[in-house]
Amino acid sequence: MDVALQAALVLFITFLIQLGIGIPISISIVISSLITALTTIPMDIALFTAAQKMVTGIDSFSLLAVPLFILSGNIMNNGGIARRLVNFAKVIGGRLPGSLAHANILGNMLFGSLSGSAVASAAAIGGTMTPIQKSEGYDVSYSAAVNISSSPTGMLIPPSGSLILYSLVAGGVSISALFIAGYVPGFLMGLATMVVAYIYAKKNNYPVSEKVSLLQGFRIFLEAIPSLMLIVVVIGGIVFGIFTATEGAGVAVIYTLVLSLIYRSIKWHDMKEILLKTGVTTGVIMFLVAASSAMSWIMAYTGIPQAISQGIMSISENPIIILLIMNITLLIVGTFMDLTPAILIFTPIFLPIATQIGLHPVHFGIILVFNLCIGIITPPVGSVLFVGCSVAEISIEEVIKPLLPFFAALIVVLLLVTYIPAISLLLPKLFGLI
Amino acid sequence: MNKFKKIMNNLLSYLTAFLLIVMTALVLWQVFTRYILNNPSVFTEELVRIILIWSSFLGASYAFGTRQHMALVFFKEKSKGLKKKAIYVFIDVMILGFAILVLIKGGYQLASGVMGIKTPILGISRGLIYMIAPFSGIIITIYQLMNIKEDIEMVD
Amino acid sequence: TGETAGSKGADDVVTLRLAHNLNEQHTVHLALAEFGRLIGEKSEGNMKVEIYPNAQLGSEEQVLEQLQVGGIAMTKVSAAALTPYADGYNAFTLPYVFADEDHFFTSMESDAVKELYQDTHDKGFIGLTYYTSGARSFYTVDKPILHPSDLRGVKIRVMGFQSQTDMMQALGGTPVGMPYGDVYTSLQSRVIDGAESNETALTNGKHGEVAKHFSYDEHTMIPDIVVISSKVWDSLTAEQKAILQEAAVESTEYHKPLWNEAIAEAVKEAKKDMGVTFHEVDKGPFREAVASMLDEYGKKYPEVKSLLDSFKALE
Ligand code: NA
Ligand code: NA
Repeated sequence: MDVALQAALVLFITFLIQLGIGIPISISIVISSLITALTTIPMDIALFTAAQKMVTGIDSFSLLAVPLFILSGNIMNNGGIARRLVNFAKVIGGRLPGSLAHANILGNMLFGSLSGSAVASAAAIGGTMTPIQKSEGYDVSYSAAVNISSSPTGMLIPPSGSLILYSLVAGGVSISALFIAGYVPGFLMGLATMVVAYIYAKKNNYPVSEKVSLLQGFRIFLEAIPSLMLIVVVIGGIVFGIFTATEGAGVAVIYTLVLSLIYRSIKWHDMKEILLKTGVTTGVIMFLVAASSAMSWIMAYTGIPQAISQGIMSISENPIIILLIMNITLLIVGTFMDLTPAILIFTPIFLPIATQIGLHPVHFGIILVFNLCIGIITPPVGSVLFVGCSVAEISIEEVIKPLLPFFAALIVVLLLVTYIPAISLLLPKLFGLI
Repeated sequence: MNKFKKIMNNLLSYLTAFLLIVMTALVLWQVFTRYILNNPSVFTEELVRIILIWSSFLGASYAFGTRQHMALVFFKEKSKGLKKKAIYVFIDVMILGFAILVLIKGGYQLASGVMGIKTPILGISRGLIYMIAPFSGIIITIYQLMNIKEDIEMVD
Repeated sequence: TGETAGSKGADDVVTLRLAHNLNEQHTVHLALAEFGRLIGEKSEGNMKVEIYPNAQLGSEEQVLEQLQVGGIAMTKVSAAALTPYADGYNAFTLPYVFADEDHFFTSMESDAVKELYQDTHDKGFIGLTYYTSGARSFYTVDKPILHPSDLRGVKIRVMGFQSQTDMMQALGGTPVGMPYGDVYTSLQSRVIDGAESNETALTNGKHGEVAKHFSYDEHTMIPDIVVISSKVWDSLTAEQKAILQEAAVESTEYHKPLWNEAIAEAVKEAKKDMGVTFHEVDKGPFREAVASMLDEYGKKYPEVKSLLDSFKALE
């Protein structure tokens, strides 16, 4: 049998078995990678490389945004800021059924567009909104699904680290064009989740925020200003070049801390609990990043990605079919692999196929990132899925069912983005970027 | 045994919390020196990356002790009695095997190979940075031994 | 033994795995592909090279470590990445070491560098050959850097090595360390005012969309180095070693014109499509500002001093 195909089978089968038994996902990833590695390389090299990829997989300054945004989210959770923001969100969400869910989605689009990190967004916005939705009688698994499915919008709405990464790997695709191209697909992604949230909330008679008088509304707005200023401070700081997006996460921590202390919503001794919670969440997520780094290595080493690409080309020469196959493949890849390694490994494999069938590289970049955005929210391996479940304090199984209609909506949008190039390319064309 | 686990939990949680504070402070310091002082700190980026690795591994180790790692629990929660006990022991033995082979054995080989190699700015030994792998491997091993003992004593 | 990366299959073909962090359009990738082709040809198919581009197997640092256990046979890294392994490599990261391109080529092909290649044998790998990576210059958003005084209060992103920070400070600029992937957005938001690299950064990295001034001060010429795992090297026969060395040198020659074409192409694209202005610069004041750095590094690292002296003799 072909080496790559054999490796792929060993990898996925051993992984699924361990997952089914209930072995932690990170451990399942590493052990299945090791077993696969042993089919081609000696034990000592496999162990050395697994250890190295795990440690270096998290050796990234940009990843620092994860613990810092989780920390600021945890600080915001403790009353003060979150309560004022939610009151404000209720006013904005207005009389839409499930107004808090819509506020969560809008928050993710805004926050995600800022931080460019879906994981950070899921932690910061979801961490604030989920408990409040719970207290308003929303089903926790539904709120978690809303938060999880809308978190990746910021990967498409610029600035986006994923699109920069794609551009670098693709070797010669304009970042400006990619950024502008991401707006419409990103907004459509958010809109799709809002439609599903609307239908769901209507069906379940979720509370509509009470009507507020103009004066009340104004008072709520005034109260929320210092909290809303967080967005101004973080966005403004990034836009005006005071700090990078990663550093903005650190500024968010100190801002929320100072504000919470002023509001007396946290006391110094609460900080121990908050820090510990952040430390554990970070440890769990980073260990998964570490593990998928080891898995990506063995996949690249055994040539699994190339085997996938050859397989696709042998099935059909029809562009519509090839695109469909690429989408399905990327969706499957996304179920197991995180966004960053998937972009690194699959761009060089799929881009030549895409350009061969006449796709613009900018268009393909958007399709790729959109696919992998769905990937990071699908079980079993999905960084946003993990964070979303952990901030909502529910298990992955519980969130799968409410996530299904959101997946369906996102896949509809994905198909639109795939087969209507104008959705991605119209804006960059208007700005003369392509 | 229980008291020992408590002490380990406490040590790890204080250490992780401390490292989080340090990372936050360093990032703010980086912004402050660059934007306000116009004299950017050159060491912070490298230092933060090292601390991120360490705190992540320590936080992950703690999460093994407190069984907080993500897993699909459907099958193991559905089973009963001796079968459940066997599944729990099997899972914890797999984690133990991972810690000993990958983190301790692989990690030690990794670290010892680059003991003499220094990071470009701070000049810290890369081997020392990698030592977090065998170090957390030992912590996870201790935790897993305690977890396996708990599994065997488990009544449901 | 290097049974993995230099594995001998049933048909006795030695497979050498080569990993690097560039894309498949990059001239260095093309040169490495040629290197592999030549090895196959010269060994009459008894040796073959499998290339893993795009940092699939890890960053420069990571792949260098993987060479130590022989999981990968060869890689291409910047000479700067080798400084932690052998002090001598610091010489290539210093400013104005080479008078011009020809001096650079003669120096890189001298015996002194061939000796340096062997210095890392007990650290897990040795050097085989080099590829030119051009000269690095400043590119900035607002105004060109025509004189060191233009760097005052200007924030320039440099690579995360002590020598690069020292160089910026000697020139009077403000060095900022950040990941390469953050440079584009940081130029855009003005966290930094500029960066430094060769012309291809404008086009490949798209930095020319934001930074409109490229000033030819050409402060450093940092080559790429091809290295092979000691474990794999020691497992090869003398004949196989000779084949590798011949192919390596031929690929270096093959790369030279490719690189010049790529630079010309990048300059054309940056001018035409991005509106970047290229400025000729009087290098004298720059050279003076950093002259003491060469002495300091020579004092700190004797290996650097002897390399610099031997380069000087070739000028
Ligand atoms: Na974004
Ligand atoms: Na997934």
